[in-house]
Amino acid sequence: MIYLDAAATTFQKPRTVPKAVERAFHYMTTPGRGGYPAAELAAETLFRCRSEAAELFGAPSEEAVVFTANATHALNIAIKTLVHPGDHVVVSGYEHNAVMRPLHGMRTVHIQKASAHLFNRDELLKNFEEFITPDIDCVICTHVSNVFGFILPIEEIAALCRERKVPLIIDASQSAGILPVNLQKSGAAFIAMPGHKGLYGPQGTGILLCAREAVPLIEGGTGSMSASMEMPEFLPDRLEAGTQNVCGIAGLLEGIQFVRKIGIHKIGNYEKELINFLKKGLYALPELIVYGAKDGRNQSGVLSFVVKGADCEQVAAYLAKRGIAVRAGLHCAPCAHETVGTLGCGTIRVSVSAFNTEQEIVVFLEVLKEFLMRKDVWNGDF
Amino acid sequence: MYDNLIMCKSITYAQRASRALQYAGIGNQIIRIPAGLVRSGCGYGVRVRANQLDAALLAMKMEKMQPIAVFEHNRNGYHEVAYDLS
Repeated sequence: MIYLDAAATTFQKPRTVPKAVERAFHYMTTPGRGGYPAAELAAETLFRCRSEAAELFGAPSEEAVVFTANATHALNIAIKTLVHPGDHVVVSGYEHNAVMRPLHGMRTVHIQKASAHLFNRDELLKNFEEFITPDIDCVICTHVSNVFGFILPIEEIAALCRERKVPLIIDASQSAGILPVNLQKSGAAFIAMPGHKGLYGPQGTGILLCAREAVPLIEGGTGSMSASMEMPEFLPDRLEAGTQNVCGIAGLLEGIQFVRKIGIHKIGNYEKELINFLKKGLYALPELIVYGAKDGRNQSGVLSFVVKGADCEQVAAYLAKRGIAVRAGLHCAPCAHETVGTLGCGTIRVSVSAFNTEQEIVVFLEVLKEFLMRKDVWNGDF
Repeated sequence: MYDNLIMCKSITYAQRASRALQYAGIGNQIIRIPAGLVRSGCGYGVRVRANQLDAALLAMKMEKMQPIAVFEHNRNGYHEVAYDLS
């Protein structure tokens, strides 16, 4: 399989990741509860993972690193801590449902979308400047669009929030491990990220970086202050009720170490090069509408396109039949599709990781050209 | 071997303290707090040698870390001692 769906989950992992998962499965039990070696090893593994994450993402200490099940879980904690019914919130026009659904779920939250044309950072920033007024309770912004790879001007948006004293939640789902993300420098209240994408950990892992107190989404045992019926006030225990995903976090530790060893800039630049190479190939095909940034610096390793006259799901199904994994549809981000004008048709998304190669892109382009020439299969009859 | 106990608010805090002490060259061991000492049920601490207690508390202070309590151990068991970080 040629795997080009890294924006959902990176499939190829460093070899150390599955090995660590297996080791944890055999030798680790519940962290922060028992005083015997298997429990201590689990606790030590979690602490090492917190340490690596704190250093990579500029968290003030390990306690600011909270493990979650995924980025959605992390975003839910952050949003439900800072946003309450009746509040006014500003979001970008490129948000994922992990942000939009919790907001809509509160019914009476007033949501303002700071929108802009695709890849137009200046226009987007201008809209944020206009919308972030003193009556805004919270700003929530993705760092990179999961559909189009648009790198939003998050540093400038964070600076605006600091200046106007509005708490900011950053969704780093598509940027963690690929672009610089820093809790202290950004001044964000919370930064949410998955472990299974750019950090190369297993599915079922995520991180919430906390710069302030948070409200627990779930309550239960933490292995601390057990005589109290209240959740502990301190992090990370306050947000980590129940046994943690030790096997997943052991893998995540190896994934983060891999990212730190190779370097974020090197990985990010490599993915951009692959996407630029792909773009050149796609631009040569007149049957396509390609959503590519003129300035390659504004686009990460994610790209969307549509085939004029063909259903995006049929294109993806054909590619799948030929051993190529891409994702079609709305990518759980109708907000972004609405902004760009692709809500009705969806797009085909190609997204790469550090493990993809130019040769794989060449094969992808060949198979796509084959599809374009075979109009008899455009109805899904193949 | 280790006879003094620095009680911490959580296992993560104890792990940070342990690392700070290691960096300062102070041998230590993370343990679960004996049930008779914990104030609100389940806790972790760092055990150090008696002659290194002051150095350990100083190393924690330099990391802006605050123990919950400090205990000495003798033939009658643990007993809480006052400590001064000023």
